This record gives sequence, C-alpha cells and structure tokens, in this order.
Amino acid sequence: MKKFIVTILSYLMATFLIMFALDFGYTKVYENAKPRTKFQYFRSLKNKQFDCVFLGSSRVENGIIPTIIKEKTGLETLNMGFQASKLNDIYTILQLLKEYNIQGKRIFIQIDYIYNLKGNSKILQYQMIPFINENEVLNKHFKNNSEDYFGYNYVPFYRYSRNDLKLNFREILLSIAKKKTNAMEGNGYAPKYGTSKNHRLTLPTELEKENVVFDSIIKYIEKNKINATFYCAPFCYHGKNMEFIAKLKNKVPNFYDFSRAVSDEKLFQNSNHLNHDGAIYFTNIFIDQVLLKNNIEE
Amino acid sequence: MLFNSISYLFFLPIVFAIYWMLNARKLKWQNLFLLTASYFFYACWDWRFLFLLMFSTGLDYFTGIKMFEAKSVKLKKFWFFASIFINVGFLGVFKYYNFFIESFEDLLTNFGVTSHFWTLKIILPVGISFYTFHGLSYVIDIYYNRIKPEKNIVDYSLFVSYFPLLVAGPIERATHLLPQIKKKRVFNYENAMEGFYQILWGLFKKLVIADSCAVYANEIFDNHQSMNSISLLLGAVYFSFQIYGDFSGYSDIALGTSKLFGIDLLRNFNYPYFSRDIAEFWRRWHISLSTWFRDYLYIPLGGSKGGMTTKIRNTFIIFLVSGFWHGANWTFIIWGFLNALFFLPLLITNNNRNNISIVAEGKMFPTIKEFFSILLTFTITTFAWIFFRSNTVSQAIEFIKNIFKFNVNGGFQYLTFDRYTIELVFLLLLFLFIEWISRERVHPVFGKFKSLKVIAIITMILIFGVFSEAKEFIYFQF
Repeated sequence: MKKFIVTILSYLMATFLIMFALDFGYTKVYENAKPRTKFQYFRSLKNKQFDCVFLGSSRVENGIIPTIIKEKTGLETLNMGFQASKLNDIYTILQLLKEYNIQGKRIFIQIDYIYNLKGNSKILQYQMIPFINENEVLNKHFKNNSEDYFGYNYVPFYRYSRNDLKLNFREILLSIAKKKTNAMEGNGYAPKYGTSKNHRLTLPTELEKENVVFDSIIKYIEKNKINATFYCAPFCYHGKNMEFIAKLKNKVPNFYDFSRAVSDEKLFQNSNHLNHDGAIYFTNIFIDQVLLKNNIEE
Repeated sequence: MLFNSISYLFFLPIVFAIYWMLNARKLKWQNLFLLTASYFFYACWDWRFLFLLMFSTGLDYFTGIKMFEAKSVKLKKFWFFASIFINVGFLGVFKYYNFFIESFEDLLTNFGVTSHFWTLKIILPVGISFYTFHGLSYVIDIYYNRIKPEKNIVDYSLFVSYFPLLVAGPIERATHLLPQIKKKRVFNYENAMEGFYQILWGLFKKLVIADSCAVYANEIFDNHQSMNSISLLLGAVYFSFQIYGDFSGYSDIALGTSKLFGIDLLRNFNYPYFSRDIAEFWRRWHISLSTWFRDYLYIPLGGSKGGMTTKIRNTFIIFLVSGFWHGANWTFIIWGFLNALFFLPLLITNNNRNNISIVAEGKMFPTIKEFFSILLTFTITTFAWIFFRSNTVSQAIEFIKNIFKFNVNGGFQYLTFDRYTIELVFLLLLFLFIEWISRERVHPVFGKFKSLKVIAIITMILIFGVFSEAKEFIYFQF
C-alpha cells in the first residue's frame, strides 16, 4: 500500500509540475504574442495618448467608428467597447486605462439597460484571464466577478483549462505563428452587417434603486478628474419602455440621449445594434452633436 | 456524481482509504462500507430514487430466496414471473410509458382520431436499465438452477449497487461478481496500479476524445440544415468517436476504479472500431450487454438452433430489443434494426464467426482486405449511429439525405466556436494510431514505459481535454 501511495503521489507531483510548466508557457505566449483579441490589443496600447476613448458594450464596439472621427475632427479615437460588457467590465477597463497609462482626454461611456445588469462579460473574461496576475485591477475584477476566482488565481493552468474552447493549444499555436485577426483593425471598431427582421426590444421599466458599481465609476471619475461623458446609443424605434432612458438621464450626470437618434430600421442589424451603415450615420451624428459642438464651446 | 467531476476526485480516495483500513477487520464491514459509499454515490444524483434502487434490490433478493425454497414448480414460477413482471414493470413505467402512449396517440391521429391520454412527467432514474438487468440476470439464473440465492442482504445489495458499475455498467453477472464480493480481498500493488492506469486512459478517452468530438458533433447535428456534405460526414464520424470515447472511457474508469478495490469487472470494450465485420463489432462493443442479450434472450428463444428463419427472427429480436433498451425513441429502434440488417448477410452465409482473432495479430499493418473490411464496418456502423444521435427519425433521414446531395460548397466549414470542421481529424488519427498499436493489450498504458506513458497522457489530458463544461456520460440516460 505504501508503495502505491508513493507512486500515486509522485504522479500527482508530476501533474502539478506539468500544470506549472504549461501555465507558465501559455502565459508567456499570451503576454508576448501579437494581439489576437481585443483585450490584447488594448494592452498593446500602453503609454499611448488618445483624444477620445469610448467605453461600453457591443453597442459601442459596433456603433462608433474612430477612423471617421479622426477624419472629420482630427481627434485620435479609441473604441474600447467589449461584447456583452456590463458596468463591472466598464469600471475595470476604466481603471486599466490608468494602470496601462493609456491616456484619454475625453472618456465616453455608453450606458443604457446595462445600468440594471449585474455580472460581467464572459467574452471579455476569457480575453483577460491570461493576465489575471498582471495587476491589482484585473485580479480584483475576477475576485469580484468570478466564482472560479480561487482556481483561476491559485491553481496553475486552471484558468486555461476552464476556458479551453477559447484559450487552448490551438490558440497558442496561432499566437506563436503570429496569425493575425481583425482585433487591431479600426482602433477597436467591429462592424456588423445586414439587417435582421426582429427589431423588438423591451427595456426595463425601472432603474435599479442602488447601483454600487455605477457609484464606484462616478467616484473614480471624480477622484481621478476624468473628463467623462455618458451617452446612450440608438435603439430601434420599436422598443418598449423607452421611458427608461429618461429615468436614466435623471440619474446619470453629463448624459447625452441618442436612443432615438436613428429612425431608419435598415440601419440596425438588430434591435439594439447598428449595422455598418448605421454606425457611419450615428458616428456622424455624434461628431456633430457632441465632439464638434463641444470643441467649438471649448 | 460524475466520474469526471471534482467531487469524484475527493470521493474516490476517501472511499479507497477507508475501505482498505477496514480490511484488517472483517470482510462484512468492508462490504457494508462499500455499499454505503455506493448508496451515497447514487444519492448524490437524486436521493429520492435511492428508494427505488433499494426496492428493486429487495425484490430480487426476496424472490430469489422464495424461488429457491419453493416446494412446487408452480410456486417457483409464480415468484419468478412476479419478479420479472415488477422489474420490467418499473422499467416500463419510468422509461417506456410515455413512448407507448405518444406512439399510440400518433397512430390514432393517422386514423383521424384525436386523443389525449395521460402522460407522466417523470425523470428517468439514472442507471435503471443497468441495475434492472443485474437483478433480472440474478433471478433468471436462480430460476434455471445455475446459481443459489445469496442469503446475505448486504452482499447481494452490493452486487446490484456497487458504485463503479451502478449507473452505466458493465452489466455484471452474479456468477462473476458475487464470488468476488464474498471473498476476502487483499491489496495488490500491481492490480491497483493497473486500475490507476485504466482510470487514466478512460479519462483520456472521455475528456480528450469524447468531449472534443461532442463539441463538433453537437454543432454539426444541431445545425445540419446549413451544413454541407463534408461537414455532415465529419459530424457523423465525430459522433462515432464521441460515443466510443464516452462509453468505453466510462467503462475503463469503472473497471479501473473497481480494480483499486480488488474486484474485477467484466470487460466492456475491445477495440471495436478495428472490427472486420459487424458480427465482430458486436463481440467487441458493449460486450456485457451483448452477452446479456445472448444468454438471456437469444439462447432462450432458440438461438442458432432450428432453421434459418428462427435464426433470422431471433437476430432481429435481440437487435430490436437492444435498440429499445437504449431509449424510448424510434431512432434507437431503427438503429437496432439497421444493425440486424447489417448482420443478416453474415448470418445467412454462416460467416458471422469468421473474425474471432485480433486483426493483424503480431503485425504492424493490416492486409489491404483487412483494411477495407475495417473501413466498411466503420462506415456502416457510423451510418447507424446517425439514427442513434438524431432526436427524431425525420432529422436522421434529412441528415442522410443532405450527405447524399454531395454539396461541397464552402469546403471545410467554419463553426460558431471558431474552428474548421476538419480540425479534430488530426487528434482522432493520433488516437486511432495509439489504439492500433495497443490493440493486443487491454489498454494502451499496459506494457513497457508505463511512467512515460502516464506523463504523456496526463499532459495530453491537460492540453487537449475539454474542462469548460463537465459533460455527462451519454449512457447515463439509458
């Protein structure tokens, strides 16, 4: 029996060593690889300066075109909208701007029904997980938002195993082979094409009474003297409970309501996402009503 | 509790440690503990069905003794049929009641009669098909005087509920398992290590092969309308490997676990995809079920005795019953029917026992004839698996129709989880190579360089295993 236990323990030790080695190797590859995800692209922008930085969900990612802003206003713009982002994710990205020393003279935060949503974006999570130990902000993000925090933080290779469909050996090989993705194109803008038929959308009826994350964002903005502007991107006209946005307007400071700014259904890919034509249209509206207007005022 | 779950990772060493600590005392304490652990293992899934398991166990224990003590043939028959009726009745209610009702309703609808019978909203108790078959074999063996009834309720209960085989087999026989339960077990290092190696290889098959294939096969089957012929073919092949990796992986873990406790279970798989004909395939696939049907259904029906008509009838009966045993769906019945159909030419030409030995034994490569025989067997097996995997018969037919449209537009299609359909083929070729060179052994870790192989398998599991979602074993639903 003793021999058996010793043998099994040796295999267990070997397993841990392999896990350590794999974790180390995978992390090194992700840290040093050319960006293949949007978050890696974000990391690669350390110490850079931008005039405008847009934060939010896919409604930012698919709706704001930095190249048009640059063309029309000369303002260097970064679109840091991440798919399925909630306020937790926005708060983390906001803090990471400082952590990575990515300077944005003006920060635009898209806010809508996500005000009421808890949790975080799983898509962004798998993109961030290789860097969990890179800084306090990321570590805290997982501590507050992930049930798997213990495993992610303390068990070697667990983070890659749990996200194996995204962060697997295939991805490592592609990173080593420097296979490009479109993550670095368009300063973070990702277009959507086509128009789906179902344009129905139902917003919540009431605002959440207490929102700790939103309060933290406001405090952070005030504390760090960030020039932040909130806005709501366009929704399709068939939306229900649109009065929710009016309630949001009372709660959120420095808020621009563009929820009804686009009336043509053909400019929407679905009820809450603009397609590429819609993004061009809306970016121009945004330039005219916010960026140029404020520049003149300044 | 799943074999591939974290909880099992804690459960197994604890049970193992206590079990062997009790060894110094008495066998009865060891068995009682193993039975308690088995009930706990089952209760982790749904404690309410533990009572059903206990009732089924008690019923067979009681009727077994009553049959043996019966002073007249009539009384013996009474207890025998009482046991069969109740056992099959439970299986019928939990597994087949809704199927019969719904099929009857469909039939009436075809005749223009609208009906709505009472269906049951019940969960299928996990492992019911397996433990019912354990009990049935025990009762049948007593009835035919092959064995004597087990008087010790703990030992008998352990025979039915022994946790490594409780939920998905192998389907044990009282003649094989009960004597081991009644014998004092002594810890044997070599045996325990073999168990560990087999568990590891089972985990590889489950986590690396089956679960990877599941990701692809699910995507392709669920979206078969938008897939081209290449993707559909690959989807069917992936499912063939998924079900093999899943079930044989489970069986390896079960056998390996049992070896840790000093108990040998029946071998359930023997490299079935290297079979040269469908008869050989069925001697190598789910062996414990095939032999169960052979011994308790085929032979009592007359087996190969009698004329060709009887043989053909019996063959169709066992394949159809086998299909129905898997699930209450016409897809399984057609799957069984197809296998009977594939078997038929071999039966008629009396060639069903041609390939008994290991293919290309002692050689590296098969002959061209062997290679094409293996390929043909795999192809027809995969064809039948399409019915097994599909949710409905019409889905399976549509899937097959789309394959034969020979639409290759888009080549190797890109799937929603960012992979090309072809990508998994390389891993499967590696798996096939490992299995091929190991086909003369129980499993690939056997033989030389064990430590090296263990390290390689662990590394492969970590790198290629699917951990993002613990997938249940397919056979749990049966």
